[in-house]
Amino acid sequence: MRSTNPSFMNGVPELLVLRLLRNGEMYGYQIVQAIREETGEVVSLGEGVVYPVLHALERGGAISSRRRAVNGRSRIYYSLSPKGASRLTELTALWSRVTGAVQQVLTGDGHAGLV
Amino acid sequence: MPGSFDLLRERLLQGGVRPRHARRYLAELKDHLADLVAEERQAATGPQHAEARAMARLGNVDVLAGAMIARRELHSWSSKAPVATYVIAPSVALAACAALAMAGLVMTVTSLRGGSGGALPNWSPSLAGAVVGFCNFVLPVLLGWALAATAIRQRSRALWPVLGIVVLAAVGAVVELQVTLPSATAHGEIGLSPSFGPAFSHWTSFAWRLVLNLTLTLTPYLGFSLSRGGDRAEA
Repeated sequence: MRSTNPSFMNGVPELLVLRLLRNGEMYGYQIVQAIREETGEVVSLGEGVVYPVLHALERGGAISSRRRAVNGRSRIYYSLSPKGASRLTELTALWSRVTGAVQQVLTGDGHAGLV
Repeated sequence: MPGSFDLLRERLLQGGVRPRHARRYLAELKDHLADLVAEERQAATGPQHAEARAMARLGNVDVLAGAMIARRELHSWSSKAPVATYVIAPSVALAACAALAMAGLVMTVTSLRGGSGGALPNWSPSLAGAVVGFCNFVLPVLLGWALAATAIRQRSRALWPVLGIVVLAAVGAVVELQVTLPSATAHGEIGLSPSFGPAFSHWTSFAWRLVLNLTLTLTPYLGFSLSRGGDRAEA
């Protein structure tokens, strides 16, 4: 199991978590499995480190949590708040700009335009 | 496995993470680990391998602690602003509590006298004496204990808590509240005066109160901190 280079991961866990929570409330284990599955294991976090991301997002008001008993176990479920939905829009736009710019460099379009 | 979580809790608290976040993080990690172990068992690895693989997937203590400690927004105030938390806030709290106690006393005396300014009941000097004694002698010690308990709970390094306890003990020893109840011919008075002055007896009174405050607050804190340090060294 490879872990992704942390310096390229700044803001990515937040983006992925917010995007997943847009579909409905989830608990930590579900979030990590969903990230693995939906990215084809390209993005693979040390599983425990998702919780500091969740706690920080909750502290910033982007998500909220509630304790729910499921199959005799008490779990903390996270859900997206209206503030988190706006944050997701901002992060998505930023990510699109960054990936677009990187893609431009890789294909040489941007450079060609400058010459 | 439980040993790893104990070690992680210590690392988080020493790293300045708020105890509430540390507690919840550990509870979530334990749940997550249980899910991972179940998943690995379903994948038909042996029970021992299942646990080892689950632990590896969860992350080691360094990674788990580092990820949480790196988030400054999850740190306690005692970690982010130790001077404000341990040195300034307790003295401000002492002044605020004393002011509240005096406000309560004034309201009680006013209501006892009624609108016509009648005589106070016989027990009112005892009540005033108890409130003044509480503010002058008990409050600094209670706040010192609260400060020490916070420092122990949050595994703070001893420097700022010790300085805070010393400052609080000195403030508690130097400031003395005095109350004169109103009588039929004179107004009541609340006074705040330094407990020391030019006379030698004032200095000895200050010194005694300082020593008493320090004995009751600093000594237990240092004793507990040293014994905990010893336990950690043995572990």
